[in-house]
Amino acid sequence: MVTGRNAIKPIFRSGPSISARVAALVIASVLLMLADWRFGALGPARVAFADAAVPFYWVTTLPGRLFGWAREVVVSRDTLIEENRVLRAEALVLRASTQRLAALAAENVRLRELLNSTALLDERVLVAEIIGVSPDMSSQTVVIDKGTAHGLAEGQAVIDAYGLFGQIIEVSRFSSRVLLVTDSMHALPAQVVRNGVRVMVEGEGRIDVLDVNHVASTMDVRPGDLLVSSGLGQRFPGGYPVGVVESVTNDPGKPFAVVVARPSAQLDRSRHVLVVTEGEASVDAASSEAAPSGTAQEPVDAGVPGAAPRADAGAPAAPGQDGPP
Amino acid sequence: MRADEQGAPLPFAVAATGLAALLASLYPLPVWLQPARPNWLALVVIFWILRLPQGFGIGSAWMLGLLMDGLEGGVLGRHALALSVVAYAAVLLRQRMLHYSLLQQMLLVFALCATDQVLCHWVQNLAGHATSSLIFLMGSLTSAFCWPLFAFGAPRERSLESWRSSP
Repeated sequence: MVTGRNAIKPIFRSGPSISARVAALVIASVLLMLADWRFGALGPARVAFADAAVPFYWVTTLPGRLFGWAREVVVSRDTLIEENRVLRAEALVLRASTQRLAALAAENVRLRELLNSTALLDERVLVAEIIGVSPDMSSQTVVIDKGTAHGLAEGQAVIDAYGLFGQIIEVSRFSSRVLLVTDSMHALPAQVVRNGVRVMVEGEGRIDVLDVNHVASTMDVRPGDLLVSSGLGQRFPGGYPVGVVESVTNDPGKPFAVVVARPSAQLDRSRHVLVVTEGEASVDAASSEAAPSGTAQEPVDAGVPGAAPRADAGAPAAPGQDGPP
Repeated sequence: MRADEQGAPLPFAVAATGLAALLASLYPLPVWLQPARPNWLALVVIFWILRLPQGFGIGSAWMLGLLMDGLEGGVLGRHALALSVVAYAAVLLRQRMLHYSLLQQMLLVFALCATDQVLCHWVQNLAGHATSSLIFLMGSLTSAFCWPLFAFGAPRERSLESWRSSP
């Protein structure tokens, strides 16, 4: 019987060595993990892997792209006209609020000059597309299609049109990995817009939940409060919306209230994100250049959070953007 | 089926299924569907160990896991470790699995995929990504239900019942 002999063979042939082999491989894996995670010794290998992964991620987004393309092709003329109308109206509203913002920014620069305080950083943004999402549920990271070749570096903040998205934790040549604000390893200092109370906002590992930790029961934090990044951690620029407080539970027996917030950024829906690359700070730049439209250090009005940064891709300057006298 | 099992291993088919499994593991899913993503890598490893015991072994499973680690960007060696353990178990269980009915095979596949995912989560927890729920085992369940797709191509001996019923 051919099948029986064939099936039995491997057991006799590799019986004694297979346990040794698996033991060797397990030891090799553990050493790899230690070298990579504990000692960070495999940086170059990780970068090489990340570069090699770009085509993989590109292929996985192909069905979505095709679908989007097909939908664009078969969309009707009426829909396009309607969409165009809505976009034009939206552009008008945004432009109007940018005018106000420009005036505010100019005023801000003047006030800071009066106070002799340092100028704000000029923030520039770079549009990037999300090309991959980590399949591992316990780590919330996404891969974007820009890397060192486009001037990105580790630690830069990533935002989308609605709020703070995360930060770059790994850069390769043509892609970077972004840790979302909701990852369980992520925390950032934030501030309540209404009264300036400083809090720490931590991720929990769920895409729609942010924990606001160590809020004393007597602290003035209410549901509906907007949290913005405070810039105190020196990693994120200040003033970007982080989340909206959803519930505050005060347990009289506990020293701290349990505060839960919902992230402002559309972490599971955004396709395009903006990487904030900070320019160098100098008083000169702030006083002589045109009003830096990206200097939204004051808490931004919740209505126009995405209008603050200046797109790097040659967006025309908003009308009414005068420099300070 | 028997002929190519005896002849040269099918490097092309192995590479193609491995690649497909990697892509399917990376394919972006909606958040609510993510826990139910079948463990394609473990399924492919189990399949090839049943089908090609000489051509595909623990080392191949380890390599596949390492590739997944690199693509996923997690701790390097995590999937490599889990998949080599799964491959080891599959090699040991191969003889039984060949005689099992489809349902029994599915149960075993569930156990093997769960082993893989539990090991991965241990490493992830040690690395600091704390997760408390067991929802990730959903993936093992869907893997078990995906096994019939693979069982078509996997060899199967006659089960004991069929020997008894047809003398």
